[in-house]
Order: sequence, then structure tokens, then C-alpha cells
Amino acid sequence: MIEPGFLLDLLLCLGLLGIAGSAVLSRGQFRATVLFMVFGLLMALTWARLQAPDLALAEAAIGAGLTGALLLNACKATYTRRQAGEAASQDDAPGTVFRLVAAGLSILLAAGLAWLMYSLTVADGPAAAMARSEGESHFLGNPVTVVLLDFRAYDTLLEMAVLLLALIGVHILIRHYRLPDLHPPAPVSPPMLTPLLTVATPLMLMAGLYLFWAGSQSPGGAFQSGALLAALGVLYRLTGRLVPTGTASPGLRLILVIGLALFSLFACAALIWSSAPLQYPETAAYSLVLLIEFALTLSIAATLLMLFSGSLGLARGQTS
Amino acid sequence: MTVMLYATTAATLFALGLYAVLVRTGLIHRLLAANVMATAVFLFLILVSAENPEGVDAIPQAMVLTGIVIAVSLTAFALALLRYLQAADDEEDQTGSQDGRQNGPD
Repeated sequence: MIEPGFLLDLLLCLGLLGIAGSAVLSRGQFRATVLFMVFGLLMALTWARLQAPDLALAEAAIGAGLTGALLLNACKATYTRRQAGEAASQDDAPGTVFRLVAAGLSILLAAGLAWLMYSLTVADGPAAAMARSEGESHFLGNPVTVVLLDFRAYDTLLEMAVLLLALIGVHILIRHYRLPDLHPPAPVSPPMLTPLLTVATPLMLMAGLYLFWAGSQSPGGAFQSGALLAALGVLYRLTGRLVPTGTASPGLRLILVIGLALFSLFACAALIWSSAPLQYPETAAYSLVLLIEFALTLSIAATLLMLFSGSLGLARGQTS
Repeated sequence: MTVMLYATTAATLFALGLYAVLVRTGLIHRLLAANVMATAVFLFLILVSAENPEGVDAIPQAMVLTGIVIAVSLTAFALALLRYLQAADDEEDQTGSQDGRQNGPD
């Protein structure tokens, strides 16, 4: 007798393998992109099955949503390039011998990894035990948020730095060589567009801000919320409500860095009331967490949107 | 039983990603394959977190959450690099063909 839960796990695993395989081995770029987005959705379900609801939310918003939008951007770039008369570059595929050797080695690797994973025994290490005992009496109710913003705040701080660094890298490329905008405003706007945006905007704003607010006590947080708000920005960018500009306005620059800046400031300021950086004070810790997390949310949303936009700045477009 | 199922999936996904990175020549496909490899590692970490006898361990979950955001920023940067690489290639092709025309007999 097979339990229904196990059957679901089995279907999920088969789906993951099948979709991932057809995504990375498929011929066309568009096909691979769409399959990869489906892979992200299945991954979100898997996280939910593995008792990681925070990850499920993040994967659905980032893995399946924003990565998909970025990949579709790349598809569009290739498509416009082909339309412009450029020959599709035919890469020379590796020979059969190489393929067979690679396949053999990969199968060996999979077998080895699986064997290692089976023989692994899981138990609490010192860090996990500490996180568990300290986390129970912590003023933040969501254990993942506790780790992200308190116990291992360094990681989150440096992660914000990586995010900003990726954006700076893209901006250097844009400055170096200006390419035509991928999403020029459409000459005729579909009639249902404005009503759609009127409905979608408050819903997405509410869901995004709720995720931020709920993040301290239940699944959610700055990353999920930031990704959702960035998705709203992508919608505005695609419909011409936001148009690319050649320079970033001071306000946009401020929003891009405020997460990292406020977090770093707090890290230094913590030395006043404690001996270690990133230590929360006894009083007003909760409001400080909310303030930092809100700044992180804004920065994450703006950074992801600018990564999608592929321009130095954004300005309000004309709404006809 | 469930553990073994997910562990096998993680191992196979990792190997699948590696195979695609090796044999695919299209850069987008390689990028996707690298993402699949990253996801396999995440899956393994979360499996360890979920199978902890003491209860779900939050530290790997937080690490993977960080990892997902890093992965999307790296993917975005790589895609931007790719687009500029294509543009540079196109430019090279054009100047190359123009040179060819100039050097050829009229």
C-alpha cells in the first residue's frame, strides 16, 4: 500500500527530473526557458513538501517568476537579432565520443553522490542546537527570519552587497556599449491594459507588503516581498508606464543602496551598545528589525527591477 | 523512503546539470544547466534540514534563501554579459564583411 504523500513525492521527483532534463537538453532557447520556469514552479512545490514554506514563496516569486522574465528578455534579444538579418550562430556540437564520456562520468557522479547522501546521518550540530534553543525565546517568531536577520546577519548583509554588485556590473556594461531598448513602447495600447493594471496594482502591493509584514512571525520576508514588488515594476516597465532613461535619478540611487547602507550603518552602530557588530539592542529591537527589513525590501525590489530593465534609470512614462 | 527518493533526485539533477554544461554549446543552455546544478545543491541542503530528528533546522533554509537570491542576481548578470557578447560578435562580423568587400575586386 503506497501512501498518497509518497506518491506525490514520487510524482514531484519524476517531474523535476523530466522537466529539468528536457529544459537543458532541448533545442530552442524559448522552449528551454519556458520549461525552466515550469521547473521553478515544481521546485516551489517541492520546498513546500520539504517543510520550507519560506523557500516555496521565494522560489515561486524569484525562481519561477523573475528568472523567467530575465530569460524571456534574453530570448527576445536573440529573436530581434535574428530578425535583423543576423545569421543564427550554429555552434559546433561536441562529438559522440565526448558525449559518451561525459554521460558516463555524469552517471558515475550521480551514483557516487546518491551513495554519499544515503550514508549521511543527520543530527544537530552545535550551530543548529544553539539556533534552536535561542530561537525559541527570540522576539521574531519566524525561525528563518531569525537566522537571516539576527544569527547570521552577516550573510544577509553580504548578500545585499552581491546583489548591488551584480547591478553595478550590468550598469558598467550599459555605459560601455549602449544597446537598443528591448521593450520599446507599443504604438497602440490594448484596451484592457489599464483596467488590468488598476486591478493588479493594489493586489500585488497588498500581497507584497503583507509578505514583508508577516515575515517576522510567519513565512515571508524581505526577499519574497521584494521579488513581488519587483514583479509589479516589471509589469509597469513592459506596459510602458515606466520608461528607461540614460541616468539614474537621485531617488532611485537612494532606494538601490538604502538596504545595504542602513544595514552597514546598523552593523557599525551596534558596536556602541555591544561588543559585536550586528547585535540588536535590548530595547526597540523589533522596530529596528522592521526598519532594516523594509529598507532591504525596497532595495531588493529596485535592484531586481533594474536588472530586468537593462537601463541606467527609469522614469514615469506617458499613460495614454 | 522519501529521503532516498529526494536524495536520488538531487544527485541525478546535479549530474544532469553537469552533463548539460559539458555537452551543450549554447550559452543560455549552459546557464540553465548551472542553475539546475545549484538547485540540486539547494535540494540536498533542505533535505538535510527537513530530515533532522530534532525538527526542521532553520539555518540551511536561510542559507538556501540567500542562495536563491544570489543565483538570480548572477543569472541576471550572466544574461547581460551574454547579450553584450552577442552584440560584440555582430559588430565584429559586420566590420569583417565590410573589410572583405573593400579588399575584394570591384
